[in-house]
Amino acid sequence: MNNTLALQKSILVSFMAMVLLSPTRGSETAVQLSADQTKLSAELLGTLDDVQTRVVKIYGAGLGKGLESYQSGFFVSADGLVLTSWSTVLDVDKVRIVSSDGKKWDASLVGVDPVSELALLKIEADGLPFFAMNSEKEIELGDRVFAVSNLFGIATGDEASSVQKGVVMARGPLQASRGTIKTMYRGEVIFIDVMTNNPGAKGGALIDGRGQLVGMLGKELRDENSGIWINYAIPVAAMSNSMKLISEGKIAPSPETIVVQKPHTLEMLGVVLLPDVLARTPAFIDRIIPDSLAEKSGLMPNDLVLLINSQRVGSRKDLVGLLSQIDQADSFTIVVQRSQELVTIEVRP
Amino acid sequence: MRETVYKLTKLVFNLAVVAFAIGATAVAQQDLFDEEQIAFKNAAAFASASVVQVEAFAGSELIEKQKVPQGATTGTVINEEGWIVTSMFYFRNQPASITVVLADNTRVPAKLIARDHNRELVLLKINPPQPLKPIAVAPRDGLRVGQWVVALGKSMSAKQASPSVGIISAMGRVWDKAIQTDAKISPLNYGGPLVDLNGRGIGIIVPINPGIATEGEVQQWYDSGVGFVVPLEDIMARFATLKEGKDIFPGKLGVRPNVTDDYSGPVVLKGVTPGSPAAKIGLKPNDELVTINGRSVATLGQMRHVLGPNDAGQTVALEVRRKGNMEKLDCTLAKDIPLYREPFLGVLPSIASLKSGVLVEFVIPNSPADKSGIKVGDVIQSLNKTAIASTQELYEALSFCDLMDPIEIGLVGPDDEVRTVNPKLQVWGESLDLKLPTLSLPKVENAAEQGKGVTNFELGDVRNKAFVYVPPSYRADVPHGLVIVFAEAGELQTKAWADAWEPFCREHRWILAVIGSSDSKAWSFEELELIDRLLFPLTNDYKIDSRRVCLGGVGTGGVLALVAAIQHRTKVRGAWTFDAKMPGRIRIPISEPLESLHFLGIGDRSELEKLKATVTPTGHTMAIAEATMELSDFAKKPLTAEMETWLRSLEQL
Repeated sequence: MNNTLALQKSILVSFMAMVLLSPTRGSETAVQLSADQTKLSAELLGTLDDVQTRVVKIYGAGLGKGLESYQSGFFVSADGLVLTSWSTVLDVDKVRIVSSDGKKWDASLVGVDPVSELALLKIEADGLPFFAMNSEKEIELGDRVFAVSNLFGIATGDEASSVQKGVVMARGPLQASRGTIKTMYRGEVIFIDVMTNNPGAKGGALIDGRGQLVGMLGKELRDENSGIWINYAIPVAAMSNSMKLISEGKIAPSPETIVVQKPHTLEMLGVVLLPDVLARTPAFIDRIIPDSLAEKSGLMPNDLVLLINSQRVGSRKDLVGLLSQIDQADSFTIVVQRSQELVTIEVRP
Repeated sequence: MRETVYKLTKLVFNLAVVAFAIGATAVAQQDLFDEEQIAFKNAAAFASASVVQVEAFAGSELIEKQKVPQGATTGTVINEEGWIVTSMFYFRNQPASITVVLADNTRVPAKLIARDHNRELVLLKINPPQPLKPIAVAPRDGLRVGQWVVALGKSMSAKQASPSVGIISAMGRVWDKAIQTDAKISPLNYGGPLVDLNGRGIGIIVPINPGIATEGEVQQWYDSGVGFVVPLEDIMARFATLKEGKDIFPGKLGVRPNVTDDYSGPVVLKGVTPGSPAAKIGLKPNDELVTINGRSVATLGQMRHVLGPNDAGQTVALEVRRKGNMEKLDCTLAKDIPLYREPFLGVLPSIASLKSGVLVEFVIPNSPADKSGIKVGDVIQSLNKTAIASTQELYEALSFCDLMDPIEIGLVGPDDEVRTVNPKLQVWGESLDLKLPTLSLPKVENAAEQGKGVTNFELGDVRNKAFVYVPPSYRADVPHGLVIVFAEAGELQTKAWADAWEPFCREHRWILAVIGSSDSKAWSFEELELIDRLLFPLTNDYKIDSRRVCLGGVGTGGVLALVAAIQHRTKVRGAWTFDAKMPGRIRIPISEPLESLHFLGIGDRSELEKLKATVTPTGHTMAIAEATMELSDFAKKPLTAEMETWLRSLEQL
């Protein structure tokens, strides 16, 4: 009899345990999770532990020049290929790689992609945990991400790199975002709200909630115009491409520089602007030269030039500069403000 | 045997349950992670329709020497007819053109209708091709510290808002004008909304300076984990006013509390600024502010907190304790308070302190005192019917007087005759013609002369050297003035200073302190703090007349003297400079009662006139004298006639 009672008791306890510990749903946001998301086994707890074993601490040159001598990187193959950011830290004969459990290696440089500013290093090892660059899903705005890096060189020896959290803020070209930025890279990047713009973070891994590699943390860059520091990562697609080029020994094509045969000028256009009084004199049209290209296209005195081919005209100086990048043989678009209206004008040669 | 099997089964069963539970918890964590992500994205998508990109084109680059940023920013739609709110960050100047880019990339022109200077926001109007979707407003009383929020910006793309996720960190910040969040706030999303997980707007993202950063540092406080938004409810409450093109300004009350520390209280008034709303409703010295709009103001910080969100033109209900009685008063806050200038009566008070009242030892010819009939030997007993016990009390009471109204002074003549006079106060003069007589010292039995002459002053852990000169005639019962001088960089001629100043200090009761620079070529602004290392010990060790504490600066030390005087204007009366390289302009806060500075500039007259032109509009005074000698000659005898006259003038009331 005791046995039955005991059995009943344990069934009851188990049942209660299941009820109490089972997943609960929030009452406010009723959400339908898609089938494949619920199918996933519990990974989040183990995910970050795994990821930290794939990220390495890199030490090299830089001391004495006022630059930091450390950065981050991650394994991309089981036999020791390390992908990282191409920087002055790597300007030494031997670059030191330290894993999260304190193992040390001297790495040799396999190659660099100067356009995407990535470098591939190699250490002699086997059976290493690594990132397979095969995330099928494109990362979207608002997706939660983690950045894993050795920012500020906090981790040393057998310590794992630091993990920070955030979301994807935007995707877009690094160059065209908010003013001018000093970098060679012209491709698309992922902008994040994680504070990765710190010494030592570059080369670190940006991962999604499933532990998949999404990007590589970028360099410390500042927007010249607004003065703010940018937090961004280079997407996996660009990294895969670079790796392929480097391992094949090919040099990536440099970004196209368009040479303008006959640059446009205000005179050619037939426009006389208000004189340059302030550093940022607005590009107000004072007069239109009769029979000029400007007159034929429909520009009028007192028009304020705002955009040339979608590029913002902040001042008279901007306008002259933008015109000089347009060939006289090409048509282009001008957007002007005419009293309270915006007028789009096609200028055809 | 069966028992063991049974027990084993039970054990395995229970272990399996526990394992399942742990597994379930982990799945729960993953699901929560995903659910939250979906919630963030849904909230952003829902609110994105009410967020637009705003562009400002051209306009002046510098406003008060601060570079005005250019480019695209974010705006939030608050009304379907095309009313858009954005941050003042890009609109301090008047741009030549403003355009708004909608989610479908249509670009439309926008007009700036009004500015809220109290909240640093701007209202724009466009004529949208179709009615816009205004942001829904999350009720403020439903908000909770710790709840998820999403900050949205469209400066990168007009089509899709860029999100940053965080929580509400605090309510009622920045003197109750803002809600604090740790979502990443930066020029990327100024002007955009902070929304809850239902996509409803909580506030508009702004770079409000919480008062910790110095002016001009505001835009550096981005992505810092501390961000501020202006509550949408407060904005909607002001929409009707702004819509009509009426700008909103912070409201000023005009009280001068007797405490300067935000944590100190109770808030008892030293006085009110003449012409201010406080003066107009009759607030008086010694009134205690008890409540404002029903909220207790037990400390200065609380008072600022309650007043903060009130704009010029708004009326606040005050409860004031006056002589033990509670008074209820309503006060309409003003945009501007009339410029304050320190009043001048025209008497020299005697050094001897009476049991009560101020003995007049000299009446300045043609002064308000002279014209109203005050005579040498009169004892001033009251001002505007309030009893006056000492020179300091008379000085403070005079400071709060309105120059527009004649005052009433109660006197007792040498013949014990009681009478009143009604002088009309004048503005403190800037002339250097006045010759004041030497005041007589009180006769004291066995008056001990304790001045030690020159002594080195230990400044502490810095390379700077300093010395103090106390005239041998110093007596502890006679208040002495204190001059602290920033000497020319690289020079500290102790003997020259002591010799030149000895007669003046002895006759007119002054203590001199001179600091040398640490670098032989120039001063640096870090060395400003050295003033404090001298001011406190000297005012403790000697009997210092608080109306005669001033600074001086020679050559490159001149700018430091000016800046230090401005920073310490509650403790220091002013500063003199000799042959100082003057900056084109100096940022001076407007003068207020008991914070009104007097400057003396000796040097190139035209340079000094330029500086004076920027000083005078702030209500402070500046006297100018042409330098009649080179800096090298001054170094041999560092005291001129103009300096003596100016220093002496600080004794007058």
